[in-house]
Amino acid sequence: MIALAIALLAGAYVWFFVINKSHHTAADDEALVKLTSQALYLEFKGDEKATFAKYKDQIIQVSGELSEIKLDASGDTELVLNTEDPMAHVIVTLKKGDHAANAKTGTTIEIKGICNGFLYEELLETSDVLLNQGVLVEKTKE
Amino acid sequence: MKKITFIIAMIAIAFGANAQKYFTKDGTIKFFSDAKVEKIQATNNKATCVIDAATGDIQWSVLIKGFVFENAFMGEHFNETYMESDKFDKSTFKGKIENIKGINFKADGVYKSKVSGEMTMHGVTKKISVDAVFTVKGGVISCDSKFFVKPSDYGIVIPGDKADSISNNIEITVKGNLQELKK
Repeated sequence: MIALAIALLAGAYVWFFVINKSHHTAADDEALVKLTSQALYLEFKGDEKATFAKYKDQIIQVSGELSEIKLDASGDTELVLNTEDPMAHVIVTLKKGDHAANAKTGTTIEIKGICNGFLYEELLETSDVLLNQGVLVEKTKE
Repeated sequence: MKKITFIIAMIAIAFGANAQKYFTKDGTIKFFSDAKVEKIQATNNKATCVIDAATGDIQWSVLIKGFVFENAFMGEHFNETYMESDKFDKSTFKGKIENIKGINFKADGVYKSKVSGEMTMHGVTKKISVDAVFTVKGGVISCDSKFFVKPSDYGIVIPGDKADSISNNIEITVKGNLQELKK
């Protein structure tokens, strides 16, 4: 009887805390580092491999000018931050259900997200740092 | 005068070249594993796709860590055990639209073509050829394709005890709505 109870408890633990655990989001922890979209882009551009090793799966807080707000194919909100290079951006997908309703394009925002890596597209000559599970930290005035 | 004509011609060529390209950074790549014990699927909505309408070149790129699963546990296994995304952070396809001359990107319509090229995943590059449909509507090009890949072809080992949980023939669905590149 006791063995059965222990087995059930162990099963419940595995189900709730391992198999069914929810996605880690940027709202869960402090950021590893705070930097501008330009600085983040330059780090990846300078040494993509080393920068990926440093920031992969880590929460990063980025500030930059918001150039675009859009929805992706799953209905999640995506915020695009400019850098000083018109061909390079930091793109942050917000965690499910967040819409950053107060964010306005043309203003500087601060946002936290989990780093997925860097994509350089040679036919377009564009570079993007991609973060997901993001949350808006604050919005500063123009 | 000749110099001015030359400069105008060069500008026209440059604009013409750009006008031949279509792209999206919000393409969707899904994979679906239909095995005996469970069905597993994941979606990535941040795939980049570029088509050069003049040459027929087509490229897809996606970050492996951007795939979203039903729960975090599945994603961790996918990244750590199978795709080793810390080492192999992206997957790419570089190829050609074989029937590029039969596609008029300026005229609404549905065009079918084989797309052939090299797909890199998990650090392994393989030649593939797949069916694709290009739908032109109101200046937007929709690119759709569905095909199957074997994990073992890309050096992805599925342990024996997981053979009933993960299919050895994974369905890949690719979709993108591409806009004309304007610089």
